[in-house]
This record gives sequence, C-alpha cells and structure tokens, in this order.
Amino acid sequence: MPSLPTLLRLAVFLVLLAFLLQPGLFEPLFEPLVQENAPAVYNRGSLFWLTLLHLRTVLVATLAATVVAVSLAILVTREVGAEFLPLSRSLVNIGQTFPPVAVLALSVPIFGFGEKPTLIALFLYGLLPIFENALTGLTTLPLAVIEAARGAGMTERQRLLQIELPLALPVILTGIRLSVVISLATATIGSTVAAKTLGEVIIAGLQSNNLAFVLQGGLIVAALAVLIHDMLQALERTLAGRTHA
Amino acid sequence: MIEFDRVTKRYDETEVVSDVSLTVMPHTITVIVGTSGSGKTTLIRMVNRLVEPTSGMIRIDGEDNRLVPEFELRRRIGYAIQGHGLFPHRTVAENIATVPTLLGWERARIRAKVEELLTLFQLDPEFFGPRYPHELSGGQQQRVGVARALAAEPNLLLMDEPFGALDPIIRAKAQDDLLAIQKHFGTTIILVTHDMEEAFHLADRIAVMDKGEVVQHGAPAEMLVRPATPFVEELIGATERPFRLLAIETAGDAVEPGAAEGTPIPEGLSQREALSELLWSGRSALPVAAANGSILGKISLDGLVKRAARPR
Repeated sequence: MPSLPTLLRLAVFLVLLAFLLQPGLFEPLFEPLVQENAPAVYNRGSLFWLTLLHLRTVLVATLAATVVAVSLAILVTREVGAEFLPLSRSLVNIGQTFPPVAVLALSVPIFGFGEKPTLIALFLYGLLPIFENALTGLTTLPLAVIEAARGAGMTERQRLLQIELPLALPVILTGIRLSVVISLATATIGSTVAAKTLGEVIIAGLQSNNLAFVLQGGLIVAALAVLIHDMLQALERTLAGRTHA
Repeated sequence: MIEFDRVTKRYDETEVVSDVSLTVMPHTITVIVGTSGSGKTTLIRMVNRLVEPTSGMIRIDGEDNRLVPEFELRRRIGYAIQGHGLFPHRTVAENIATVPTLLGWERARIRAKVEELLTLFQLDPEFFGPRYPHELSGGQQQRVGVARALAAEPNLLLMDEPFGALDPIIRAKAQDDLLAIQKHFGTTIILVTHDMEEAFHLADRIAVMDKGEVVQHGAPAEMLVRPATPFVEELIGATERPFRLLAIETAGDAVEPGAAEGTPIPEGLSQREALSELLWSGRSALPVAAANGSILGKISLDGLVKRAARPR
C-alpha cells in the first residue's frame, strides 16, 4: 500500500496529464474566472506541446549548468586548480546575482529573439547551487576513506571516478534539484523574448486580462516543479541511504 | 626488509621526523610506539609515500622506494588505518577486491581471494560478501579493513592504529587474529600504536619514538630491562614491568616437569595470563596442556615469580 504523499503525487500527476491532453474537460472549473464570451481554457496552442518545450528548455540549461559547475568544482578541488577557487566562486556568484531579466535584455541584441537568450539566462542562474553543492560534496568526504583510497594505490583519476564522485553524488544531486526548481519557474519569463515556454500562457492571460490563462500557466509550472522536486529527492535518498547510513 | 636510512621530514620549521635510521627484518612485527605528535604515523606513511621525506631514503628489499611510481608502490604494500576507511558505496567483497582489481587480476582469482580472506577472518563469505560496510559491526568493519589491506598478498603491511577504535574485548581478539594471520602469510608488519599493552603483545621488535626521534629500538624484553631514556621507562610504566615481561612469553616456555592439580592452561596463553589463572585459582601450580590436549607438565607460581624478576 503506497503512502499518502505518494498517492497525492500520483493524483497531481494524473490531473496534470489530463489537463494537458484534454483541457476542454476543465472548462467549467475556470469559467467563473473569466468575463463573458472570453475563452476559459487556453486556446492559442497545445498546452501539452508548450509544456514539453518548457521542460526541454529547463533540461538543456540544467544539463549545461551541471556539466560546467561540476567540472569547475572538480577542477578547483584538485591540487592544480586550488588557486582558481576564489575566482570561480565569484564568477558563479555573479551568475546568480545578475537578474535573469537583465540577461535576457542583454543577450537578445546578440542572439536575437527565441530560445537562446532564455537558455543563457537559465544556465547562468542555475550554476551557483550546483557548483556550491558539488564543492561541499567533494570537500567533506570522510578523510579515512580518501586516505584508504590513496593507500590502496588508486591514481588521482581512479580516486575521483570510483570514490569521490560516487560519494559526493547525493549532495551534487541536491544542487541540481535546487537549480531545476528555480529554472522551471524562471523559464516562464523567456516568453517575453519569444521563447516557447509556459510563460506564453501567462503572458497571453495578462494581455487579454484573462485570469484563467494566468492561473493555468502558473498551476502547470507549479505542478511540474513539485513533481520533479520530489522525484529527484527520492533519487537522492536512495543514493544517500546506501552511502552514508 | 625495510631500511630507513637517515630519514627526516620537516614541515616548514618543524621537524616531525628527525634523522631516523631503522631496519625492519622480514617476516617480523615491528611496533612503533610513542605519544601523539611523536612522528610515528608520519614515519610509516613515508614507506608507501603518502608523505615524502625531506631527506634520507627508505629501501624496501634493498630498493629505493622512489624508483617505482607511487601508485604501483602502494599496490604492493598493504595499508590498514584506524577507522578502517572502507568505501561506503561498495560491498564488503568489492572493498576487499580493491587492490586486486587495480592490479587487473582475473575475476575468478579475485573471487577466490575474497572468499579465502573472509573465511580466514571468520566472516561467512556468502553472508558478508554482498553487505555494505554500514551493515557491519565495528569489529567486523575493522577485520574487513585488514582483509582489504592483505588482498593482493603484500609482503609488507603497514598498520596505523588499526585497533584504536575497538572496544577492549574485540581489540584483544583482533590482535590475536593478526598474530595468527602474520604466521599464516609470513607478512612483514609495521604497526603504529600508543597502546603499550598492544605493543608488548604483538611486537617482535619495538621502536619507541619521542619528538621525531627513535630513542630505542629492540626486543620487548630488552626494552623492559634496559630502557634507554627516562621517557621509555615512563612509557612502559615502572610498576607494569614484571607483568609486561611475563606477557611477552607463552606458558609453554615456562613449563616445568611434574604434575599438578586443576584445570590445565593452554600452552599458547601468555605467562601473564597463566599467572592470573594461578592467583585466581589459589593454587601454587597448574598443569599445562598442548593444543591437542596432552599434558606437557606444570607451571608454578614460584617459576613465574622468578621469570618476572629483573633479568641479570
């Protein structure tokens, strides 16, 4: 018998899926929110398709941020790269403090309208949590374990791939989870520069003064964020349970 | 044979190990004792080059240990540490297989070795092989740690306070296991500890370190009789001397002809334990039995008292 939270998540997922594939079914629910004759459910394109594009944008940006942030963390925790630690910290911090909207505004003249400026904004914004967590994960490994790995005659590369990264993985994954959740919400602003994301639904609602549209865009993003967050957390627990119990 | 030849290690201005020369004979157990900060751990970590000496040289079987790459050297030398350092994400079997895997042994050979070692350490391979370290007790983890160090059949085993984290009962058992295993494989062992009891129980030779220097190196008995410095004397503990002397040899060495009443003492027991048995049973003599149960003779209170006296 699955637990209550699991059942709730399953319910959220099924409702979300139903809404994306058959939005018409939910029309009565949203009718009270709109003026007469206005559409109660988003009708300017497929919600399902927009959701997939939204997820793709987040996935691509997070993957790129993960590769860069983890590589950077690995570099600065090696003996040769230790001196780059302060520099990479500040770079990554700038990425986080610089508002994504400003990144969009600056990158549109260079890359034009569309998905690219959004990807760049999300990538920069997502670096910090992953980098900081990877750094924590790689620097707080149990000393005796690292000592044993050296003493056993593992090369530096073998230590990294066989011991350090697997042990730091749960903590790194936490960083990725934070980054994904932030990106899921932030990606909506990409639609201001014509990226195909769920932001389109919200913006359409704002322009036509249609509260139902705004709500639908927001709810889909929120449901996605909750589901993906919990999924990654479950994965972390499974990994951590084996390594640190 | 391990030769430390005028080895010095300096960190900035502090000299941690000062001009140590020491020879460790093959197939023996050398125990390095000293207070914390005496440089004993640094000394053995220079053998497998986890620390590089500032000056001096360490030769293993006549060969400078800097002639082979670090990782190759370390794969040839067993290394067991306090708190075992088992890899938490790998099973017991995978942990033990670490060095053989690095050396590229065939799978069948690795599996056979893992089984042999687990059996030797009285851990059922079927049951313990697939477990993760956190599912084991402290004593079991420690045994797996030593098994891992021995997996590639090294001629030399370095142990840095391997039993430090164990409770007294498990520690005594682990020490006896180590002695049995050393006999089985003939491994040369260098063990670091601050526990004098442990040192006298295990050592063929003891090296005492104080402020980075080896102040005395010799057989345990010699150290008791002729401590080189007041520090050594203090470390041994003056009131413990007769008992330590008895702890070095076994009951079998003190057998006298004749018969005695009472529960026989196994010949492998130390004379100190035999003395304890005599005192507790209130008898002046007890029979001594060989491993097969035959009576070898007796051990007497008088005999032990003579043996505990300062040798002349």
